[in-house]
Amino acid sequence: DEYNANHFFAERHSLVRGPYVEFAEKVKEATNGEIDFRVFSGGSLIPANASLQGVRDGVAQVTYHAGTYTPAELPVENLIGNMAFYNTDPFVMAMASTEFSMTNPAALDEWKKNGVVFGGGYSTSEYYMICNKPVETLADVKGKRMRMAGGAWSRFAEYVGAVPVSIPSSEMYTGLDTGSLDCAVTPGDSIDSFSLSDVINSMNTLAIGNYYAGFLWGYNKSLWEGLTPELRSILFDQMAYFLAKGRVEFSADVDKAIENAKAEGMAIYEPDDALKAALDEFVASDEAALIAAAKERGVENPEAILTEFKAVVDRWDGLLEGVDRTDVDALAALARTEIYDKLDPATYGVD
Amino acid sequence: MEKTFRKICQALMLFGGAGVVLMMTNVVLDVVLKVIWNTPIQGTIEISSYYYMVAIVMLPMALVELDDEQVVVDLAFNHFPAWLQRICLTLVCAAAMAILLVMTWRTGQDAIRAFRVGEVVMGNREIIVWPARCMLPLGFGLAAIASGLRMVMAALGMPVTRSSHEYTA
Amino acid sequence: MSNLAIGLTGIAVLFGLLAVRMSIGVALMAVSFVGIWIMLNLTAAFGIVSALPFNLIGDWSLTAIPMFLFMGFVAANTGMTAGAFELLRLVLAKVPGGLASAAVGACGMFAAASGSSIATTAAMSRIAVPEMLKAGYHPTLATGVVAASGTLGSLIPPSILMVLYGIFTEQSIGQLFIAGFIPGVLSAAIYMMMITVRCSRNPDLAPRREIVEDHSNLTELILSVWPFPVLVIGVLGGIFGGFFTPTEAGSVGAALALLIAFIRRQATLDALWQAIRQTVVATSSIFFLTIGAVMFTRFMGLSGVPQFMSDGMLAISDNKIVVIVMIAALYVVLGMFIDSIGLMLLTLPVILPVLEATDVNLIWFGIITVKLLEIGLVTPPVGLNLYVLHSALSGRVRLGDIIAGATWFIAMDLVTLALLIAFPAISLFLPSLMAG
Ligand code: NA
Ligand code: NA
Repeated sequence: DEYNANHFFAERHSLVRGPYVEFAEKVKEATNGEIDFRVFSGGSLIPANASLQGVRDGVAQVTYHAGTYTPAELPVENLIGNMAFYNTDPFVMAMASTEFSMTNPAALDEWKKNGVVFGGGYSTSEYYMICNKPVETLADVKGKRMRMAGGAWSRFAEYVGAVPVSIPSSEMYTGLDTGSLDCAVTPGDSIDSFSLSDVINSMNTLAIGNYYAGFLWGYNKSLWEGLTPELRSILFDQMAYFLAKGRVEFSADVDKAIENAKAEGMAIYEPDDALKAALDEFVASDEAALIAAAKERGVENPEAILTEFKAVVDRWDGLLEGVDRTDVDALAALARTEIYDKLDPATYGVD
Repeated sequence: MEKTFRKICQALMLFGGAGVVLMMTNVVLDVVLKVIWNTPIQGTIEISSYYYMVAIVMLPMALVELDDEQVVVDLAFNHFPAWLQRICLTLVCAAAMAILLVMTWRTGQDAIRAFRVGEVVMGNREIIVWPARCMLPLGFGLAAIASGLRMVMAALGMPVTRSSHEYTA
Repeated sequence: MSNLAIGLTGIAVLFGLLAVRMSIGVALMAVSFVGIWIMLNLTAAFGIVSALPFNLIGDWSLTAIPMFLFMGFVAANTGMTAGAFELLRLVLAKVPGGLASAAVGACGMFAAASGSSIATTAAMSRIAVPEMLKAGYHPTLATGVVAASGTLGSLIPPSILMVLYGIFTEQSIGQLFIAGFIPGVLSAAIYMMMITVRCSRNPDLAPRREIVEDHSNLTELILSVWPFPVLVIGVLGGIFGGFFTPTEAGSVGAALALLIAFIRRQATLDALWQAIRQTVVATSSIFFLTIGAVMFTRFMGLSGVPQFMSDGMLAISDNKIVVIVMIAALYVVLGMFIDSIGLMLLTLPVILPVLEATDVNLIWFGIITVKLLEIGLVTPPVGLNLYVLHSALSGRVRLGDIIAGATWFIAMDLVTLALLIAFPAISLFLPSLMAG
């Protein structure tokens, strides 16, 4: 049958190319056309901030969702999503956030309440300060107007004395061009995807977290319940592969964008020790803010959830040690053996 | 009946007008503070988008409908005989009422859900947005009533189109 | 019925509903809701209703729309335009059809204060048209010139259409603004040339009358034009000087217009209230329509009609110029029936894949799009500028005369359009200076 798959990024983005466009083809092939996803990219079906609602209502049967758009609906997911600085290896975070969201009881309960079945997670590459003037030291950062992704990122900006600005990504170019913005804090591939190379001239390699809140694939509950376990297995298998492939291509896009920008004269700065120390201090101090926010939204025992999440992250940090970060098959194999094979396709996501 | 309803709609339009002035003032202050002291007013974007804008769009909607200020194409219509015009207007107002009721019902459900979960958006600060959600069913609902009123008036053969009013804008 | 058939039927039903005078917004919403219901199910149809309005209205970039409208209405209600028109009519007194050319120029200046063509037309119709009629100008010329020149409101920045285009195509709104400047001036120049040629050949159109020139007034008049350069420099200068973003520019522009009105002691309470009232009414109806248009876009996307149409276009040719000419033809035809914002929102999903496939510069295409949509504003049967003018004159001029008068200007628009397509530099020269 034909179903709708929704992603609000443009079709050329690494998280759409593989995990949606190619994924849809492979799923159709593997299921002999029993599952045929039509991909709607660039928000042409559901606007970015309504993805969760749209998949719940069945406008789409599977969608990407950026979790920080719905902090009230997804308090547990936002609690862990805002732990973005604990480990900044995007491969670790993609795997760990997937495993946690598919196994932790509080997380599973949250998906159920929202009428969605979590299929797989993701992680962007590291957020960097990409600027139109040199930003190297903690002193440089002070007073700079930085486009931040909200939440923990904005709190970090304030912690180091920068001025967080929340503007849509579409306004980054003009902001940097005209100087109403000093830096965009965003993954490196943004240089290409938002054509920033003309309006920037420096990048700081301080890894300011990754964004992994929400899900790369969330399924409409009644669609999922209507699938046979065999079909769900096929989806698991394909998601494991494209979780890996999307991640590898994301990093490749980042490398390419940064190389191109360097060739066009972008300077690369290493953060000074004071800036690195400030980030560490912030990470330590921000945990209390995360816990308080989660409690306010009715999360029971957020401390325990964070501890469990960190354990999963640490586990993946170990599992991925020495693994070739460009080897899609090796990474996919790990996702299968360590996550998807452990789920029972007959019961997962079904009450 | 029509007069009382019009009073209510005009009052709501005043609030929409206040939204225009408040948004302009808030954004300009934010710009000035940013340019001179590098201290933006946090939350300007979220408050402007979710409160001022929703007020500007939703609160005057009933009056816009009542005064027939929605965008219409009446070139063919103007050549219809009077009886046909009357039938068309009645049916069109009925259809408008129906679709506006659909919008009211669903955005009302959304407002209730948003209230239950205490909906917020994440800018640099978290901003509560569920109260803004309530303006949607209010605006659509009153616009549905306005359409219903126009439907009855059209059926009775009373004037309900803009060309039969004095043009004021 | 296949999805494609449902989509195409939906388009046919839409036109039927518009013909019986259903408002465009209601018709779009109704067709989309029922169409999605048939195609998917009722939950999904309600899902679209639920997802769209709040998120659309709550889009920060769209806050520029009421602000640019407010700026224009403040300028209109406080009589900022009258001086410009007076000055130009003195300067152009000896030129055949001078009053009409003055109206073009004044529209161009007012465009710098207004984000919308409709507001520009409405403001100028009450200032310029009665003057021309009094001077014995043929009603077709007197009205046609304002109906057409009002469209400069969207080409010369600021421009609501460009704001929307920039958002939907992810292009820089600032770049679009600056790109529209020369094409706007060019359009005005071509209008004036046509007026001068026509009026010198056919003096009946615009009788030459002895105008007693009062030069003591001239200095005062020149000074009275100062708000327009101030607004242009304030808005564009502020954007490119890095003081604020194009979105924020709306609020700054509105505040600047208010400030100017206060300085000129024209900011009466009544004028301000009128400006606020017109702003909320216009904003509310534009968004009502846009909500419908976005719902319709989703319906179209689900039905596969845009893909079907763009495949059809690319099958004919994938040459850049041929594609653009095809799109232009499509816009001119559809522009007869659909309002500008609705048309843009409806067609961009079809056209963007074609443009990307042929690697067209989207800033350049944005200017072409705005010009095309502006032509749609003066083509019957759905030409909003024609109606605005008709009702602003309280029916003193027949709609048929207005349409006849606009025809000459539409022909000139096609010339401008050909130039814009043939010479991308007309649009891209200023943005390239800014980027460099
Ligand atoms: Na303008
Ligand atoms: Na038209």
